[in-house]
Amino acid sequence: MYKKSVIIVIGIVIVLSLIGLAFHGLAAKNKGKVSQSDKIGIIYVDGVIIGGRGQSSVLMEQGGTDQIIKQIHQARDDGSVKAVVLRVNSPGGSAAASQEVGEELKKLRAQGKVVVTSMGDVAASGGYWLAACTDKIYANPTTMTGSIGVYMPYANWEELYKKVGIYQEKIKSGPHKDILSPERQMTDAEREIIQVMVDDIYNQFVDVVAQGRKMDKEQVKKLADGRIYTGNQAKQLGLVDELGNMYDAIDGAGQLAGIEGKPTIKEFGKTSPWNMVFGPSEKISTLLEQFLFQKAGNQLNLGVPLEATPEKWQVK
Amino acid sequence: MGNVFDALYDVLFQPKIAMQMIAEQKNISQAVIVFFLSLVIPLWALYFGMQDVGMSAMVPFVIGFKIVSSMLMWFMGAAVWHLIAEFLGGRGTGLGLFTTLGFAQFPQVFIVPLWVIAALLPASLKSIMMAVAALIIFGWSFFLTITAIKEVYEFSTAKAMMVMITPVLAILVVCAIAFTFIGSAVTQMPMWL
Repeated sequence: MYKKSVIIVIGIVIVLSLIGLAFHGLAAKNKGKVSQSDKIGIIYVDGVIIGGRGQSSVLMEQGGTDQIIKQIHQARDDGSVKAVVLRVNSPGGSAAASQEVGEELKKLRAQGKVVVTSMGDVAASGGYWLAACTDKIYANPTTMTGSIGVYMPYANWEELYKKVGIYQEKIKSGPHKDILSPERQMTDAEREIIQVMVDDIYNQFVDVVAQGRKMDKEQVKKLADGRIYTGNQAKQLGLVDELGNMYDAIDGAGQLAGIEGKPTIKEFGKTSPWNMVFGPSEKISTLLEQFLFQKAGNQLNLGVPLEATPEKWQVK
Repeated sequence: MGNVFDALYDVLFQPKIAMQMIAEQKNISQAVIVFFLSLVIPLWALYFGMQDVGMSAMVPFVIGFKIVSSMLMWFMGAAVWHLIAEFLGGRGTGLGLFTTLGFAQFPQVFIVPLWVIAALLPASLKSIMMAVAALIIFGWSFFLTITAIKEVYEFSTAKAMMVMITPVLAILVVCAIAFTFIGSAVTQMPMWL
């Protein structure tokens, strides 16, 4: 009988402990003054910015700006999300894809939501394009940013083709239909056509920066020679508003949106169980993603420069 | 040892006798009840602990993982250990081991009162106390598992330890081989600061 009594006493102690733990949890929650109604959404832009749907499965989404745009729309439609922090960790990518996301960010702001950028390791070129479309930019002092400019990669494999005995013949509807073909030298006329296109995209990029940063267009052009800047330099030049990490950006977004107390964070996009368990592997996965995009990056016909990437990735 | 209360008391205070009796009686339903209580009660603590440190988004995943992995470990652990024990000349039954392993998890329920005590301590001692409590509970369950293997198969402590660590060693060897291959692949990836 005494055995039963001992186990019952132990059971009572455990039940009381469970109740105590529940109260402790509630008290801790109240202490943090977490505001359940006002949320700050976080949207991640990782890796090369490239259009399309990317890869989506039940557990995760990777690559493709369609996913980012979908998340922007979710943030727009969620009434509890008062502000969005765009966490950018990207060396750039396609101009059209960057423009598409940038326009959606502008529409999000037009809906009354505050959008703040937090730059990670790299937020250059197309990454900066997106940042320029937001209300405020935070960067780490060592972040690589800037790279405002455009280039179009072109590889001439004519000599290689000759060596391996490949001779391609084309029946063209017009003289420029095979412009940028790798098996022949580009003509001066074609070079001029491409240069005009690059200049046009460059001017659009400069316009976005000038408008977003409220800077004079000529002033932007002086900074926009394609070079990269540290976060520190970018702050001095007016390309970045504040130096700080993602949590500073979250606090800043909360202040801009007028959220009182500690805001609730809502992360958009799916997170893989792998990343949930092994959080720090994010950097490895980003590296792997960029490694896998190496070829895709080289094949971009219209690209915002990737100077922030290792030299071996760049097309000369 | 007529009912579950007696069995639980003996598991806590007379583990050697308790494990002998449990292995003999092979009361699966009691073992299942004890195992689930030992699983669910610490999960309650885990749930509030994760809420406390702002990891609420991960709660369903971690709890789901814990439930599935614990059940798999119970079933598969009993199967693998029984096989190894038979290889080493053990005369017990797989069902006996399965039942005793269910009861061997019981000390885990004490994690809740210990964490409540830890929560009331100053912040500097809180994490140390929680770690010590987790270590004590782990050690206690480990001791009961060894006792279970010993009593089910009538093994010495060294032999019971060998049964227990053989699968772990096998996993470590497989992991070492896998990491060697993965490591060589990762070092070929572009790295920069």
